[in-house]
Amino acid sequence: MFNLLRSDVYRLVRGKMLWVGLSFLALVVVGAAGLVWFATTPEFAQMVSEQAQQKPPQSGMSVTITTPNNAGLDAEEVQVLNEKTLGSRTYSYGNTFMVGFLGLIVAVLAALLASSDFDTGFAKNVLAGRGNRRAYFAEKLVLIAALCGAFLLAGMLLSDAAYAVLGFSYERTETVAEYWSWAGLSWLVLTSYAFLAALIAWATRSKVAGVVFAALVPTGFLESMLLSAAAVLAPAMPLVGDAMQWLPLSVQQRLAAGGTGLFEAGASAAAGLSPAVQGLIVFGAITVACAALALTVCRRRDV
Amino acid sequence: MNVVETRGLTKSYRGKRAVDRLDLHVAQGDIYGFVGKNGAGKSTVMKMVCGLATPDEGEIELFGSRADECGRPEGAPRVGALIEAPGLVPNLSAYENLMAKALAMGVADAPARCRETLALVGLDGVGKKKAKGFSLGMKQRLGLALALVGSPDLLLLDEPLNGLDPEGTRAMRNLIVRLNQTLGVTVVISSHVLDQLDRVATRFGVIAEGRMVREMTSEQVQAECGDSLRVRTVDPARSLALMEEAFPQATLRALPDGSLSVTGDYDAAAVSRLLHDADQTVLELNPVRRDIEDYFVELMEGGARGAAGVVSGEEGGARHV
Repeated sequence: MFNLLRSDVYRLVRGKMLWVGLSFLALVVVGAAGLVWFATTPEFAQMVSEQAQQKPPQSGMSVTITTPNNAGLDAEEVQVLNEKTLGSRTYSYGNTFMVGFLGLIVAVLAALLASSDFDTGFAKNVLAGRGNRRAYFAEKLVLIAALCGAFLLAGMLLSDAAYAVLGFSYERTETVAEYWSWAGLSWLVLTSYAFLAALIAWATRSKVAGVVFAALVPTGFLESMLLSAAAVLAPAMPLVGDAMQWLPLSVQQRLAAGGTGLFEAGASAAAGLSPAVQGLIVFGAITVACAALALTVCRRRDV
Repeated sequence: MNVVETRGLTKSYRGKRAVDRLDLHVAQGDIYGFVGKNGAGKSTVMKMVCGLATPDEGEIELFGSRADECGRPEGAPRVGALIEAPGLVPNLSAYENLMAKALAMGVADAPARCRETLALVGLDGVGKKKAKGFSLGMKQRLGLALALVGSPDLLLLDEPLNGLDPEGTRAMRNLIVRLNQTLGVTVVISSHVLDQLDRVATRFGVIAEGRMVREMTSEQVQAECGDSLRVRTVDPARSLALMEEAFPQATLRALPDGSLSVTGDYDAAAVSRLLHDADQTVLELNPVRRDIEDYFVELMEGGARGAAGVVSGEEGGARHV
């Protein structure tokens, strides 16, 4: 398996896929940090202040700052936004790249990685001569998990660097345990989505199917629609509302709040569990199930 | 010792039998020409032998050990394969493609081995050109080089001459013979270019509709396919009886136009003398050279009819020599 890993790393480093993915990540993190910085500039504050004092225009575009529950902000509250402070480092990761975007990148990469050997026929080269199929799939899973870790670390470093260069500070500092627990859980989230995408690519032998999955699920698109539908049904069917708390997107949104409340159950906790435990259960189950299916069902398919 | 031996090998796709109770025997040192029409099951057999496809029924023995799906045991003889497409990574150069496979196989001193292999297939001058820019012939040669990585003891080549120009075909043919004769690599090679196959193969297997029609040595092919004598007399029945008695080693066949075909161990002058002494009026006595393609097509079609006969409840047409 170690030999297979060396071969894949050799191909990744010499191919475009890894570098395009990392460049894309850098672009998004720097772009997002730039937008946050712009929101703290006097020009932006003036735009918002003018808008707050005037009636909404009859036509054309306007800028409105709202809280997540869509409540409008007054000028004093907007002033607070001008301060270059962020909740915490993990909060900034969660809101800059972790929810949606990084899941999309690693899932697309995993789908391409899983299907490329079969598309090009390189899998035949490796597996001809009775190469161990279980070792082949296990190595791919290890590689995908390692890539998820590498992309997450790259995103964290880029985010720290970008906000430091732009002069931001943090209101709260997580403990080392909270910080790395958040990182570990985020890695698990990414790995589970990437494994799912790889599993779909292997099962269908189609990179398109894997990429479509990456576009719909890790981005939260599909689950957002489910949550909207559930919100309508929940008053009549409380069970649906409870079930929705276990959707990966719901758990991911709780993780996006950062590492400081990771081990606190809180009022909105599902079944009284902290986000860390809930994340471990949901994403751990997905990861283990995908790995088990890859090593049993996918392994048996002819190459 | 048989390097490859299959017994009752069967594989179905969507209910249709692609390979049907196939018995194959490849001895060590053979260049085994695997002959069959498109869709006869050649590629499927090769995939099963090298572990890319799992048989529904039957057994495969490689180098005397039963092959299973648990992978190749450490130290066991290696199998290289070029089946269907060459399996190249398009964005990598020829050298990088070989390195990727060499690293995956854990080949010691991989860079040197890859350079040697590239030189062996005549691709040492392509530099950093990406594989996606290669001609079909270059891709085939790189595919062969990939199959050779790890110094295999058995090489399975599915249509390796496809897309090669006459010069490339000759180079590939010579390379296969060199690998076989100097390195002792056993080669199983399928090809539609039967006259090319005839020049390298030491043993043949003919497959039709998933069934082995016949296995034979190249000498047997030459004997059956080589020169024959076409004899036409006024009384073919009497002539046939006379020749059967006089030349028991020869193969005699009555052809539909009433003439007789004599192949195998015979002497044309002796045949002429025999018929003259027996007062047979000879209308034609003509040596005929049989085309190898016609010969194999005849075998394949005979095999297909035999397979159809088995399906409809008649006795099968496969036999081993």
